[in-house]
Amino acid sequence: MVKNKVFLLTLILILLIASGCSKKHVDTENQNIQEKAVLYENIDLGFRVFESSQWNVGEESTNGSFNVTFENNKLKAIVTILTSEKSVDEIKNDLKTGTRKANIIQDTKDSLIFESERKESIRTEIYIKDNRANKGIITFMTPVKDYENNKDAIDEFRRNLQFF
Amino acid sequence: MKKLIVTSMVGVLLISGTVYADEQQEVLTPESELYETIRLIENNEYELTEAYEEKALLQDEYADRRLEEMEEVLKEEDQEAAERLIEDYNEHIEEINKNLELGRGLGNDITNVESLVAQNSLKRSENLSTLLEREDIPEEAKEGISKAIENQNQVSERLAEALEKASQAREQAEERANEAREQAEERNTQAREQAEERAVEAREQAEERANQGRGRAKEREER
Repeated sequence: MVKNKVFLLTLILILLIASGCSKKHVDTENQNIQEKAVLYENIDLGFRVFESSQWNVGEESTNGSFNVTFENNKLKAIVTILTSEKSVDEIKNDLKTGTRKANIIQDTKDSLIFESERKESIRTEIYIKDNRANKGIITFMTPVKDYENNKDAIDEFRRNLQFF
Repeated sequence: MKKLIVTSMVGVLLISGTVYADEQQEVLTPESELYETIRLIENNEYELTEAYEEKALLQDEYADRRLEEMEEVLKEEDQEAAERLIEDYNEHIEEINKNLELGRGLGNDITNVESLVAQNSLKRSENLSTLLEREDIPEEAKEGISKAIENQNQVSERLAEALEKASQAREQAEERANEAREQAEERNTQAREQAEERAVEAREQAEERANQGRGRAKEREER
């Protein structure tokens, strides 16, 4: 009987500690969000981009899908939000159809990288994120000759993009 | 041996696995949810490209795409979309022209690009004329297509003029180069002849001096 009580008390104690930790984690996360400056946010579609070095917000468009563009010198990004039921494969297929004369460098489950077959070749990196309510597509474009210089900026932007 | 054949076949399959998106024959129309994204990708590609002739070639490709999309939406009787695409098509044609003029203005030799654009323009004019003959196309769309043909023809005429000028300039340059080559050859021949003459004269003078020397020696011996 006593053993049972001790077990029950221990269990309650563990749960209390766990809940405290979890709350602390959530608080810390909220605090981080409050601390970091936001470059762009769309609460309705559930995503934000934190301030990233030298990135500027371009234009928004809402024909069919929602698109917002970003610029960083010779590097450009597009964040697209699709609310349809399109599968990731269908999205990739549409993107391949729409972009021609390109040599595919990488084609994985959730990414597509290709370089245009031109004298001034442009590298395009597309990452697809399957969220609960929608699908996010992040497209980066830069001339192939500038890619090495822009790699870090792409990684930084990806880290600073948050879906919620 | 079998291993070698299998390895070769796998190799061939892997190489051909580097698929070119160009092989996809489908056309993405404005109805597609991703159409706007594709157009933004086009805009970015164009803005990131620097050389005017490359920009002209991109606009040439986009004009081809708009025409394909136009044919597709007309099949679906989407007149509004067709009209918007005709407007976009005309803008691409204007951009081609603008970029070629800027490229020419820099003194670049862009005859290869101009020839390619001229060939593509001709094909597009034919396609537009075929569209115009179709009975199922509404009058408003036909007006737009007629305007597109007109623009296309103007560009073709300007291209033909530019190519003609370039061809004349090339011929004149060749003529000038030939003249310069001939003059140089002539100068070389003259110089060679003069050198030979001088050598003959020098030889004759030397022989004369030798003869005189021999004569004087003989006289001295006789004395």
